[in-house]
Amino acid sequence: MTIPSLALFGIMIPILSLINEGIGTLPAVIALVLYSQLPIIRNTYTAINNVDPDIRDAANGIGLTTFQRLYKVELPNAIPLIMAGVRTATVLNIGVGAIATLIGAGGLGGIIYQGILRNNTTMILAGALSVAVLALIADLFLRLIENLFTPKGVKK
Amino acid sequence: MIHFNDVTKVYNGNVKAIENMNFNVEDGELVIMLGPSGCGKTTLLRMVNQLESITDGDIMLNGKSVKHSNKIEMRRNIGYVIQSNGLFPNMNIEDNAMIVPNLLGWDRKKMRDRFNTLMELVGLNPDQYRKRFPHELSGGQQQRVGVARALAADPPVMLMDEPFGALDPIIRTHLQEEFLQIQKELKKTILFVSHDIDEAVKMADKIALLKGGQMMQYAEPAKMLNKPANSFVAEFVGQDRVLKSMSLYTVKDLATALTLKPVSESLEAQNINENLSLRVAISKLLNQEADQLIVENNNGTNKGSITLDLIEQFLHREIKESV
Amino acid sequence: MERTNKTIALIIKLIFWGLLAAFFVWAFTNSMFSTIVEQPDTFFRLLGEHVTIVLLSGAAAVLLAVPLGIFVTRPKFRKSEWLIIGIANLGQTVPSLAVLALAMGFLGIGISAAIVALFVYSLLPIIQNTIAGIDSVDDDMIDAAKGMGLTNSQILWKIELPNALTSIIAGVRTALVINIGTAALAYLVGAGGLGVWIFTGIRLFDNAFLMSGAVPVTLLAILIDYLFKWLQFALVPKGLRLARKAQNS
Repeated sequence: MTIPSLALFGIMIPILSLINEGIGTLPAVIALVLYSQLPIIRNTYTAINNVDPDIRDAANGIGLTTFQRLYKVELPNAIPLIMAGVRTATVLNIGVGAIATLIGAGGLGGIIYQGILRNNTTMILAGALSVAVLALIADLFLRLIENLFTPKGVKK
Repeated sequence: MIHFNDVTKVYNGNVKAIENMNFNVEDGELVIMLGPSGCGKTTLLRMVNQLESITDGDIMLNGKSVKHSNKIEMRRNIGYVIQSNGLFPNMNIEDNAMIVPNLLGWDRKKMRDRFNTLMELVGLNPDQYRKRFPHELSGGQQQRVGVARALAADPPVMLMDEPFGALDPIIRTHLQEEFLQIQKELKKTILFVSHDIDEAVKMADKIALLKGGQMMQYAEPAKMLNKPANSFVAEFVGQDRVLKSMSLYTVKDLATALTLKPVSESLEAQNINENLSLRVAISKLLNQEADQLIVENNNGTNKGSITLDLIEQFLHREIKESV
Repeated sequence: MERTNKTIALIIKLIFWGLLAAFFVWAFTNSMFSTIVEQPDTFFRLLGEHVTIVLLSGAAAVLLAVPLGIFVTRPKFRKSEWLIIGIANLGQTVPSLAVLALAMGFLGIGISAAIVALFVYSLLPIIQNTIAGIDSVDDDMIDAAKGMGLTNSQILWKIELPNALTSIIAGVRTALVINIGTAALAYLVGAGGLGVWIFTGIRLFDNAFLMSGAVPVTLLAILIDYLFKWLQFALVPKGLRLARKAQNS
């Protein structure tokens, strides 16, 4: 997370140009995958770690195996927080994805970039809005999925 | 000192939390408000220092209406202790305990002296704890600091909301006894919330038993145990209420009221110190072959003996008197 | 269990540092940082611009966002909390590239456009963390403070802010780290910064330019991150660190 996105793209290019993939979609995809890891891993870890020790204790006490405990108790209770991590990563990636155009990976960022080059505020706005709307839709969609998979008793 | 005049509290326009509450807490009295959860005891307590507003009626504190007092100034003159001690984790023990004197602008020397006095009073070594932080202390120690903090500016009135409720039984008993000692010395006017009848019987000068925002009975512990005002009170204080009331009297009380029996040498009888409670005496009597206990004072001098008959006699007398 | 965990963590760490070392060895042997060596003056000018943009925008954001966070947590204005957070959240979905571009639309080309854009972009994490920090202060603690006769401003300064400090600093840290990255885009609005070399590198397919820009930006971000970690340690009252420890154990 600490590594700036453009810098990561930048560092990707010379490394990937060793296999002739320096510019284009591949460095963008790799950088975005790397970027998504932190919020998702962090939230998943926190979520499972935060499951009430008493609940875990009770699960052990009634004889669940480690796998059963994870699958039946810990994961269902952790879903809201895990999904929050997925949503953060997605919204973040859509924003960073807009920068990917600068390393020749195309995408909606291209509209913004063209707007900058031509000093065309309408174009910039159009690009910015489409990226924002895309992020909002993705967020909404993921919330829907979260809602679908969260057990009733775990919802606030 | 604290007068409740027709105090009423209504939430959201129609939920009545407190209805026409009338009672007085006299100077130097420790009054415990008791009742099931949701009876309004905490609300009533928090109305005194205006953490809750009063819908109707008023509370007079030392002759002044709390409604019309300057809240900030008034609160600084009331000691406040809550269950989860509410110590501030960002301040060390001295800063925590001296927060009100600090706000009142005391000088450094005076605060240092006061801190030392208070810590000795609550049984903690001032120099050992001065620079430590709340989270380095045990629950019991934190609560002692909480009491010291409430006493810091020497307020005449203290409000205590289940101050010992979160402690384990042994520590709780310790702190209750220590606090009674402190109270004997300081004679503060104290309003105290509890849900524990034993705590109330042990500590209170008077008990106010509440239910659904109404006063069920306001009386001395002995009277409440011996003469419950209605079936709710009787049920709340428990079927062993007579036995509970026995912890209010010492063997010495009985010896003053009635003549002790002569000691018969026939059976092996245990001794009992005259300062112990009658409840202990009954327990000891039931736990030995002989039907009497030998009463002795602190010097070990034999003053006669006590029997179950004698206790029963004393009990009848007390119940008659408390009517 | 404990032991295997530690071993695994150590192995992962070793692999990570190994890869990092390999990367730098590879970069040096291919003289990837030659641009820095050849043009030290330009390097320091670009670095200076970069740091100026980040610090000015960050400072301005702290000056606005912290008071704003405090403001919405006052009981009287609690109702405005959802509005502020809502606007800030919405703002976060707009890509940083667009914020920069829009700022340029209003302010024209130059460093001020970059500073304003980064300032706007930093507000959310700081507001969010200020609110979260103040909200996390135990109600019982506030109750005790009120009951002892502290005024509202005394409660804010003596209780709420010291207890929220960890969270507020964390917000500033996040904002600044993001800013360092976004400032690399400042080149696009003619504000200079190390992004100049990165873009030159991309356009000319010149890895030396690319790396001489990208690696210092990354190191700068990591440096600021560590600096604030240290600041968190130095500024937060000792009692609070103990409280946190007690909670986690």
